[in-house]
Amino acid sequence: MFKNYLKVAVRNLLRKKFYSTINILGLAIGLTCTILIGLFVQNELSFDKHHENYERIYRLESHFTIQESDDFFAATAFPLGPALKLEFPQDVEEFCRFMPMDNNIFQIDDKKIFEDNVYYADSTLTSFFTHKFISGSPDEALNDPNEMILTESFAKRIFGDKDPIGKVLNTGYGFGFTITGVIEDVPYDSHLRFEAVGSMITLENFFGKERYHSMESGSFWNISIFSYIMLTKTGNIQNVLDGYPAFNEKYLKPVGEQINSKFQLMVQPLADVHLHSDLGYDLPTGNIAYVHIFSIVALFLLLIGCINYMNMATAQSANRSTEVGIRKVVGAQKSYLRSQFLMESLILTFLALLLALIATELFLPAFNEIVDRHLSFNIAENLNFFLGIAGITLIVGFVAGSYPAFYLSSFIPVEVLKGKMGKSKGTLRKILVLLQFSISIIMIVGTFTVIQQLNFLRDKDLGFDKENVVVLTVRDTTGVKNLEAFQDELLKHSQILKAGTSSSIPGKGVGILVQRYETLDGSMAEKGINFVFIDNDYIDVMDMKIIKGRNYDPELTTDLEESIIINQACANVLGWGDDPIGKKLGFGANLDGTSTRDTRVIGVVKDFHYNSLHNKIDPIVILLSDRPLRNISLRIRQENIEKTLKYIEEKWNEFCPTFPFDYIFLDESLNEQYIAEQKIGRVFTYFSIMCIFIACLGLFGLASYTAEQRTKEISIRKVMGASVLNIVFILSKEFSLWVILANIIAWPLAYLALKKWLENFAYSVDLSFFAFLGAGVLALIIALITINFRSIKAALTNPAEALKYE
Amino acid sequence: MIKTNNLTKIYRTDEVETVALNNVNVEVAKGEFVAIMGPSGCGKSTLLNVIGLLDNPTGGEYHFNAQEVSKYTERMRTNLRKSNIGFIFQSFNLIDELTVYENVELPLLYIKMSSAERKKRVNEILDRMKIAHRAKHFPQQLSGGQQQRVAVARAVVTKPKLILADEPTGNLDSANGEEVMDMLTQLNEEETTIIMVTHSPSFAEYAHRIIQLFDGHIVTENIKKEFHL
Repeated sequence: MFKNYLKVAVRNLLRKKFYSTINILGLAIGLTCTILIGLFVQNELSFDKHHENYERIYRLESHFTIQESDDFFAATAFPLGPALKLEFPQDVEEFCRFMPMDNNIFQIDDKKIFEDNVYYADSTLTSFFTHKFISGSPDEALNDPNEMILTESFAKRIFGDKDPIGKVLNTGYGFGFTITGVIEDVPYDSHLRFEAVGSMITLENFFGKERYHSMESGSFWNISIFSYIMLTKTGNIQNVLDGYPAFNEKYLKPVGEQINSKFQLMVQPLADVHLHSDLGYDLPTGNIAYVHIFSIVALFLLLIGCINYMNMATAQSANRSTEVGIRKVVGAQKSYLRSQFLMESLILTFLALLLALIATELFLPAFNEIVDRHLSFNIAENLNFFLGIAGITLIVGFVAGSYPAFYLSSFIPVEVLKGKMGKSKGTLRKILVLLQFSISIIMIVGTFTVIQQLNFLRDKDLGFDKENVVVLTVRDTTGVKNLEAFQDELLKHSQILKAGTSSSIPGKGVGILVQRYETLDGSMAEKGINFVFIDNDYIDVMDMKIIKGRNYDPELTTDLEESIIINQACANVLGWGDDPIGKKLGFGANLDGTSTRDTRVIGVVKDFHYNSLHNKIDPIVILLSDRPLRNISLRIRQENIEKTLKYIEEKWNEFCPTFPFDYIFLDESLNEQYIAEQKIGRVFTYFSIMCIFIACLGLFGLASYTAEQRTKEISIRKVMGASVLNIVFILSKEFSLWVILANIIAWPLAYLALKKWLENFAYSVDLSFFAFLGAGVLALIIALITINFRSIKAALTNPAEALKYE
Repeated sequence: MIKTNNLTKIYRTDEVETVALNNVNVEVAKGEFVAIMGPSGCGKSTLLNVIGLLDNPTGGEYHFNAQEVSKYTERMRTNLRKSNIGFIFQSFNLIDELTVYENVELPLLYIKMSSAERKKRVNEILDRMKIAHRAKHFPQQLSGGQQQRVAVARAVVTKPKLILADEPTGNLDSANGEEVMDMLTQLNEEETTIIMVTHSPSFAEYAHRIIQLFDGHIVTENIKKEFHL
């Protein structure tokens, strides 16, 4: 019997090649997209789970309340981990800290290599996290000062095929690290990825023994490292949190009270760090919201593919009614027929799955580029995921086959053999088309809006001119010493218009310090406010607008110590309103009530976006620096950029020979803040095209089917005098109506979803009615083209042919 | 073998009630060959469908092999039908996706006959119907006469006691029509009961008895040939 089912299924498939292709192709595309997105989502959710002890590991995080303002940071103070281990021995088994290493220029013989991803870490790293050692001993790798482990690929970059163990790697600090271990490359799905780790104890020599091991209150208020704790096997993180108030009292409060600030310990399970962290000073992280969005997109695509399949399968099944009648007459019970239709459906869906698996292999590299990942699909390694997809396919096959199985098998053979049944109104199919187009319209509106928002982020006036600015960060100590001479040399080039220096670069974060400021009643109060140091030229180079008062004047030597420029937000937050000039601001409040620098406001710059547009503009104070600032911003002419860069590189090599030439274009660097949004924009664009393509495949199939079903009607209408246009209109109007109705479902859902997404940004576009209308019109036009492609053919058929056939 | 008492079949739609069979009393003995005639819409096919257990009557009694079956469920009717009744239709009703062999084999699958037995039985019947050389062909590759021979083969492959033929010659030319009638006659001579609906008086002559229907009533019954059990 099974052979019979199989035979009929295969022959049906081959006989109706057109419909079979549409049917299987639509489902295969839907499944392919689902597998691809599924792999991405699975990867996002698997971050850091390869560490054997991940369930016991927590990252420590900081919540500062300075005056009334709250700040959250991924970084913590140096002694926090050791102190927690000391105070909670029942619960905290071990700590491990990572401190980013600066000036990471490595030298072996004549070879110099620069690498950013290098940290100091405690020796517990090897027992804490799961890193497979290729050579060296995990137990001894980071126990002593000046020891270092390298990843396999970094070791290869430096030492080639030679064994690095025992070799000394010199650094920009003027001392070397002995290589004590080589580990496999840190997996991509790790939130903290590094190429090399030096032993933390090396820093004991820098800080001095006392400071390195200090647990004085002051050292808890300086955050600089990423800290992790591992619980004991019986430990409970809640005990640590519950015991924190006493801990706080002992370690943090003494200084906290003096500076009127509070510190609250935050902990994050290791596996949650990648997707659930949105903190200052953090490493690049994912975003759970995007995992949700991607999952919904995958679900949409799968749904559209399945609906397509079901629609076509059920439409086609009407043509099988005669077969059902015959089978029943010759003795088939309903159960046989149900099994037959279900079996056929399952065979086809699994054929689609096979195609989808092949397509996944083919398109995975391109998808990896879109989402910027290194995903791979190996069924054996990913068995659960594959079984999940197979399960979904099984359900689709079952649901799609259920309609013919249960509906057709209930036909009365006498009637179907007379041809009385088998032509349904297709209401269910139309509702499914409605649903498909609703989803497609949501995706199109989403794409429009994401693109609009990305354009907005790119084009928004940031309060300074980000175009044609090249930023160099000088790491070389000799370069820093000769900064002025370096700038002067650069300015000799006719294409370099201006040069200025700053302590930080827009979009890369700024410092925050407690400041003392003059209140309206003349008394002094304290508040944590962002700050940036600049030189006399920076405001001019960046083309920031002074809207009150004046810029720094190089002729006035008092500006360095006594003057400060603030932004509008700062004037507002400090309650100075329209009259901030001359107000007192003590920069850097000291514990004794004094300030590092007592200044008065000399100017107000128009608000500018120092951080990404996800955040509102915060108050910031801009000070002159008495020391050289490492970040040089150069405003250059738009022409001959390559030549200009060549010149800059020459001068760089002259002034900063230790470090390889490195620069950023400010506009590009600022755009990098929206990588996640750009990624989602690309995903939305590609997958909405897929959505509408699958939906149109289905619509095309249904339109073809309807045209076939109505051949006689079309012919009679033509005989009675209907024009081709009349016929096309008749065939198009019904489906068009459903597509138009789809907007009613799509618009509110799209509106709510997009409004929620735009809430992620402090500055965003307004949801445009035209995006919604445009999506509706676009969907309708595409649908009409699809339908009419078939309708026109039907309308042009010679009526005599059809009537003769009938 | 077949006996109906006041058999009634009424088709109802929202506004119209059509009486297809109105108190029909028919008796068909085992081995008999009966032709049913009448104008279009008189209820011939409806009567055949009720007798063939494809449809339930609205009223009256229907005894098949001395069992009252008019109230049988679909499952019971299917079980009774698949081992006792063979059907032949005017439009052949072969399944396009199955070959000649597979079409004929189909009823045997549903009575769960073993593969070897099925093969033997199908080949036998294809030989007998002189269509064995076309066993691997699909219905649309055959002429109308050949298709009807396949349909006859399918109807008799389970060796049913009753064959119901609904205008089996309606779509055939006279030569092929004669051939089909000869087959039916031969089957009848082998004691298969045959009830045939036809418009053709000449083909009706092959039957022992002709029942004339009009507006759902039996109007006359003509015995054409002597019939003895």
